[in-house]
Amino acid sequence: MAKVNRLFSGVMILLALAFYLMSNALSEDAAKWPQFFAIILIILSIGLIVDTFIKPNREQVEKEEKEEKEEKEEKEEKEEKEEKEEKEEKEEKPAKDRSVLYTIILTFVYLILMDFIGFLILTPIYVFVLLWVINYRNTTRLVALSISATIVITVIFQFLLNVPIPQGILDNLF
Amino acid sequence: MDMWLTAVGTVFSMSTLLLILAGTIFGIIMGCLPGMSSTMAVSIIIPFTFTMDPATGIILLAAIYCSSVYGGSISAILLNTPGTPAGAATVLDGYKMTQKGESGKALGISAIASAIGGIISAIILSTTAPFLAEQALRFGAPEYFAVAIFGISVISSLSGVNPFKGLLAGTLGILIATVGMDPVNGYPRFTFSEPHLAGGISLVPLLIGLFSVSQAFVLIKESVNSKEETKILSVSGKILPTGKEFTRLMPNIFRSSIIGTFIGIIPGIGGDPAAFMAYNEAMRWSKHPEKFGTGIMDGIVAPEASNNAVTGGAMIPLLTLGIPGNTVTAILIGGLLIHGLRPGPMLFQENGDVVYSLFLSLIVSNLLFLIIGLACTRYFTAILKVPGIILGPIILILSFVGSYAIHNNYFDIWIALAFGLIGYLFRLIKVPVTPIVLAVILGPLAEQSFRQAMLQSGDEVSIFFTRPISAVFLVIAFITFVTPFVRSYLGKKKESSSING
Repeated sequence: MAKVNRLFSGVMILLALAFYLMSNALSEDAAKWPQFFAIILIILSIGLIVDTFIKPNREQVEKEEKEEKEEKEEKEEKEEKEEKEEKEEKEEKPAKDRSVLYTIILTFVYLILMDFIGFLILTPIYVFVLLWVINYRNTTRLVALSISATIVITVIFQFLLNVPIPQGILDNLF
Repeated sequence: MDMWLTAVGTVFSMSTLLLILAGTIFGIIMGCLPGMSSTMAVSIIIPFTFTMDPATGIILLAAIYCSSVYGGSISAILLNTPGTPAGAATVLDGYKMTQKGESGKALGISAIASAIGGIISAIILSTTAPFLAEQALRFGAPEYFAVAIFGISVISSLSGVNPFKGLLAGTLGILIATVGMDPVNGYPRFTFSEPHLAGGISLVPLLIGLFSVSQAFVLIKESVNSKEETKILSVSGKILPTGKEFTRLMPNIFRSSIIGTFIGIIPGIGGDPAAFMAYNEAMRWSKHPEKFGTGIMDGIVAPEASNNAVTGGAMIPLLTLGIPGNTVTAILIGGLLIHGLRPGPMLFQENGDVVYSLFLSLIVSNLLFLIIGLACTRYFTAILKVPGIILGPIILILSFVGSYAIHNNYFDIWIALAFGLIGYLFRLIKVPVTPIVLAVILGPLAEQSFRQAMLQSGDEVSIFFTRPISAVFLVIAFITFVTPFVRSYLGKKKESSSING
């Protein structure tokens, strides 16, 4: 966790500096508030780095205490530990569980194409591919699910609620 | 009185009742599916309410909130896993009753206790809130600043194990909220000449991103990892308690409801501690405290009455002062803002019909989930069999369509995805996201009222301390802010002395 915390603090400091410097271009009135909080963000980030340095096990130790208290949290605990182990594994050899990474990439592609192709055509394909990629391999159910989800959402938004959905090339369908 | 009559007209129309029914069913389903929470259920539905009239929209969101908190008890009882965090205390006796073959009765009494808790808190809400709002009408800029600071100070108790991370998240939220027009002069800040950013980062896509999109990623990750099938016990035994049992449980239900309502009023605590607190109190008052944890009804009614009572309690600071006390009420603010309603004392003046319809609808939706809960108990196991893996993708598409629909705008979809990624990453590195939302909502209010107060006083900061109400709120804010630190310090001291001694 120590490494992660340092990285997180670093990113926050950069972000705060960006806010601070960009504020210089604003009028004095408008700049004060963001600059004040940019400085606080930097102070807190430095605080987190120092704190992680002094007490590198803060988050683990307190978690173990809780573990004793409740049986239930033990389960979550295990999951968290697994997650952590996985993450450590990831740092060493970036293989293993890539489901979320694939989901994110697919979602990017989906959203970029949605502007042109539209929700109605693209969504069944997206749901199908996504479920396939994350290892759901019951083809009949996959097809049924991807198509029915699209239809249900379209009907609810477009017709029941009169909220437009992105239509893309089927621009004048509804 | 007029307001109540209007409210009766709004709530008891066929379309509104059907909508409350739909919301209640949806809420129960979302509540009882592990991995789905009240926060997600409410945030994903906000876009659906956009074209409804304001009263109907907020009624639907409130119905989902109440019923999803109740729904959490179903999986607590049947699966030994709470569907929502607030259901964690219900697991203790709920699952034991299931193992004893009394799951029917456990589910029945949990529905009854939840509904009574919700109704008692709704009554307290509707009797005290109008009075409090009237007092708050006299607030000027310094008071609003103090109230906003009080709302933000809650962040320290939401920070979990590492206070730095919570405070960092909160400060980040304040900075995120500065994107857009400066609240006093309308001067554009950090907009990069991007027209979509001129009005600031839209709140609802941000909420959907942080709570729905990121949760969908988590669900996908978990469902891929967990290969084991959860074993679901079927519902067995009688559902209704006998009259005698019910009379015996009544004081416990009543006490827990009051505890829940008061915990709900205090910003920053929320449903899960309220449930455990009521459980402990029930044990303390009981003649047989040793039986708690072995599967008795007392151990179910206490947390359930209490966590549902939080719903009404939490709406008191929300509606009267505009302070969200927990994540769900922060999201409800998003639901009000898309209709141009800013919660606070003026809401009672200008949109009294909305407020009173909400009060009445809370009672109706609590009754509705009671009826559904008792009548459909035997079908709950079917909901729990829905494979988690299909939920992730569906939540994702709903989130994106919803984000688009609010302003008919692609830019908002990207905001939802961006905050989805931030939320997911923050979860991995254990940074809480609720402080971001509180700060995004209260930051602009704090800045605006601070600057107005400064104009008013000619840059004299003392104005915040010489006006009594603002001084009191600032003191409460300070106490709220430091309490978690003091408590953890004292806790450690006690621990080390007990080890040494």
